[in-house]
Amino acid sequence: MLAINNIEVKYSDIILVLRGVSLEVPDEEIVSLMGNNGAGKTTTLKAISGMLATELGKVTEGSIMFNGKRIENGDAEVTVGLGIAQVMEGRRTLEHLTVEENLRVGGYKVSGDAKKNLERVYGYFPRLRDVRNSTAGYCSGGEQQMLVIGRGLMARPTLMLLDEPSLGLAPLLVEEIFGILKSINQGAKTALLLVEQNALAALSLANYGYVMENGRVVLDGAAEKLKNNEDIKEFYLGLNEVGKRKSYREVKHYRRRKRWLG
Amino acid sequence: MNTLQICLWGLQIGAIYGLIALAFVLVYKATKVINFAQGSIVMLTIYLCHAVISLGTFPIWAGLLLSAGVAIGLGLAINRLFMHPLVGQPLIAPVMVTIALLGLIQGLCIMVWGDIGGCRNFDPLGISAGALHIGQIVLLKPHTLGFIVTLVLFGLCALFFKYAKLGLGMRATAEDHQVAKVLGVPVMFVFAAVWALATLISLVAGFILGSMNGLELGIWQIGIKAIAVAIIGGLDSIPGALIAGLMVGVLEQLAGAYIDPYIGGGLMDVFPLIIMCIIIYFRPYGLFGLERIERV
Repeated sequence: MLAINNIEVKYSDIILVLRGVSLEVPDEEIVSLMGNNGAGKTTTLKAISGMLATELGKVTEGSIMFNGKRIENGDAEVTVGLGIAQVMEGRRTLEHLTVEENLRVGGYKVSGDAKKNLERVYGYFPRLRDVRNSTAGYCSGGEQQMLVIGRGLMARPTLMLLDEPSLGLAPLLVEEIFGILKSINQGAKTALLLVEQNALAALSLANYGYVMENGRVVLDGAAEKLKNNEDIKEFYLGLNEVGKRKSYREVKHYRRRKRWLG
Repeated sequence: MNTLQICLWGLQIGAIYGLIALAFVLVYKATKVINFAQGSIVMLTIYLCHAVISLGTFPIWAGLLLSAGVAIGLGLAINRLFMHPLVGQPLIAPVMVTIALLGLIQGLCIMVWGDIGGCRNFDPLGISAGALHIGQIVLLKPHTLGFIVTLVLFGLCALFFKYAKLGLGMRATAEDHQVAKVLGVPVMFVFAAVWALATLISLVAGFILGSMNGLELGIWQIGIKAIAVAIIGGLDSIPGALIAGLMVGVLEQLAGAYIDPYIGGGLMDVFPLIIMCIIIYFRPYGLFGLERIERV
């Protein structure tokens, strides 16, 4: 469905952010993209959705194919129409609009029955139906996160790009939202590309994972395999070799060195 | 003159201020550009309308439709030539360009229409001299027409922004360009549409002003009052523009009638600016401006 081949991204023609990133999202699958701050995860999503241009960024090498069509350096407004919806980081609601108006904006590109589309989204997020007429800016963090995901869903995408949906949410809420993401993936046959810091949650949801560091992909594999990778355990899941949570009581512990080339 | 009469006149004048402020607010809301050229755009549209109507002998409605087309074309041209190249640049750049436009349009009007200059009769509807008498109260026809048209236009605007898809897209754009874009709202098209709408409203306001006072090369100065009105209403509030316009109109006329005689006149023209200073002191966002929502 989506294939990124060896792309290089520069901001302002000078700052090299991605160097030879390749990744693939197969039909109806969930792929997670992990990595530290500044690794280039968000930039990768923006390269796909065409939002790079708003920040003077550009794909300078390589290609991004979506259903056999090249979309790198495309226009974000057009990309939405192709079936790619990006849910940006940080719960970017349209603050002064109501919840339902936010959703309607999400369906801007979709012609046809808006009511039915709304009902479908309320089906996934029953909580949004209860607050449909409140001002989005005053909703709780969890509701806002549900709102921006639901708003992306309004575009009837075949691929959703989710940037840190768990950011700043209570663990219970994260679990609820990830559960809904799973049902969106299964019910709406929507593929998900998930950028997450919360590696444990991401890997339990995803089928496949990529790890990024310094603007390149350093590790990839099936989610199960990644979960058992010693480096992932140490650096992302916070477990030590024996599989137990790391204890700081044993003050003297040796820092494991990453086995990949960063 | 009784107070009721003065208040009614104030409401009618204020409606025109509100209408020009509406054009100003629309542009500000969607693009965050403070359009200092608003007053001169009103002037240009009305001179263009005059030129179109005196082109030949076609029915008045055809002349008005044609003028509307010209006004929309003017808005699109301003957007394409002056605003579009500056998208993504610091906001001060397009704002400075509007100040340049203010001078440019004034010069253009003097150059082209300088010979017909001021106080040329402009009365395509034949209402300038008419008045309605209701008991003791006299209402001038162009003022009354302006008041009704203003209310209708504000009503249409409210419906447009609530129910029309493009209206919703404009509101989304006004909130956050990036989010609007990522959701598929054609942001550049919205900018163009907003400018077209603003010049069209400017034409309506100019048409009423022309019918009231005739054409004059000083019409652009009303733009300054309209900016004051827009700020009082809260730069990004559409109902605010109407309410502030009506309020300023009434207060200005009252000041003119009751205070000016004691101080030798002149207060009426600066009164909107005085009100603006006072209101901003107490409400920095204006009366109805949106505050940034910050959850605690």
